Amino acid sequence: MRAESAIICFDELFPVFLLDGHVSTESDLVSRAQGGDLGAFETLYRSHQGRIYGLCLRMVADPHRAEDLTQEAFIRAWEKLAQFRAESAFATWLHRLAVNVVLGDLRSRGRWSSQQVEIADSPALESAATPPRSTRKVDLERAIAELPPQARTVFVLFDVEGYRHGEIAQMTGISEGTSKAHLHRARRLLRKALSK
Amino acid sequence: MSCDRIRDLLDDLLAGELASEVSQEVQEHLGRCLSCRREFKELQELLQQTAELPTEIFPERDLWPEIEMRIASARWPAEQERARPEPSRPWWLYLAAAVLALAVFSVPLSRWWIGQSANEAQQARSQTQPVVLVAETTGSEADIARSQDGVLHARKDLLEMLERRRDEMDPEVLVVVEENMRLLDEAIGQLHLALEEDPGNRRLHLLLATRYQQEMNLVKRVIRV
Ligand SMILES: [Zn+2]
Repeated sequence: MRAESAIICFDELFPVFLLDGHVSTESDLVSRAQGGDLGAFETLYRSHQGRIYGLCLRMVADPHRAEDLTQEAFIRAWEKLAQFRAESAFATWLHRLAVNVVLGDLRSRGRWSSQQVEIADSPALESAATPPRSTRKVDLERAIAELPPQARTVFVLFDVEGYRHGEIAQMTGISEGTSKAHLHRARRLLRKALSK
Repeated sequence: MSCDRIRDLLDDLLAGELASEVSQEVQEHLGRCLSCRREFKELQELLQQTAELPTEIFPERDLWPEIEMRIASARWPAEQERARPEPSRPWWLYLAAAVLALAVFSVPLSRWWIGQSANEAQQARSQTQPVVLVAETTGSEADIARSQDGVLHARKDLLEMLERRRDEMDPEVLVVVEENMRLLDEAIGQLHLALEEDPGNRRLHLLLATRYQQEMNLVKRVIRV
């Protein structure tokens, strides 16, 4: 059992793609995948899974859903691969597609609503972000996971992933002002959680 | 400006989005107000810590086999609609190969699947409709042949590397790797047999290339190339 998980868990980024016995660039792999080469697409998956899973995990704070969403994102990427144009970076294209998959999922679960601009802190959420005194050392990842969904989404997209408010507004359907308000709230809740 | 107002502007200050006179006012306030300054410092620390978060987190299990399976099975309806008068290969051969791809990282599951696919093979003989699991490749035969030579070459190098590092490896890991290699080799063997009878079949070539790639990915992961 241990041996199996040793292999399953052992994943890393291969900076050099070995395909057909030659060093391949990412754009070689993308063109081959666009031509229906599933092996090339698997290599792309292997090299991007960490970023995409990390994004999904931080956005939904649930490892199993993050796995499903990662799979969904790559399946969607395969389906839309013909629409990818080489002038943009594949990583950027894939990342944005994954964000949309996650946002779609949040919406379908009612965890994200563009109408919902209520950003007042509810006592329940405040206390959720405040860990019990016994675990004083709060890890940032955990504190992010405990943020309310909308604040977490905006924080992850803006502060972790580097999207701007304009882009977030476009992807989520909220206004830039609301995006800023969510970010402000997320940062405040995180500081509060981390200072305990 | 009140302390509350100043604190609301700290995000914009950090983003460099304040008009210069407002920015100056905020900074002057920070210079004389200890509590706002502490707030600002905390915010900077949070952003620093956030910037240090790893950009990659890896899932605890291999998500690829399911992705591959779903991509492949999405092709069924379209492929079935296309009339194929004479199936040149028994369809279960394709299924067996795809199933091995799914099961390649889970040995007990693979055994079960192999048993299943043998049963399915029996049932398959009465079926006339071919079920094809893999995308059509657009490459020419010459491209395919060239790519196979490359694959075989790379595979040989990797297997030699694996052999050299054998002694350094955890024996339990080695057992699982070898079992997975055996399963992949079995799938590869089946595909070669099928190709002998139908050398021009692109799907078989594509499946074969995918199996080789999986084998190489497995070895690369184990020997950490
Ligand atoms: Zn102040």
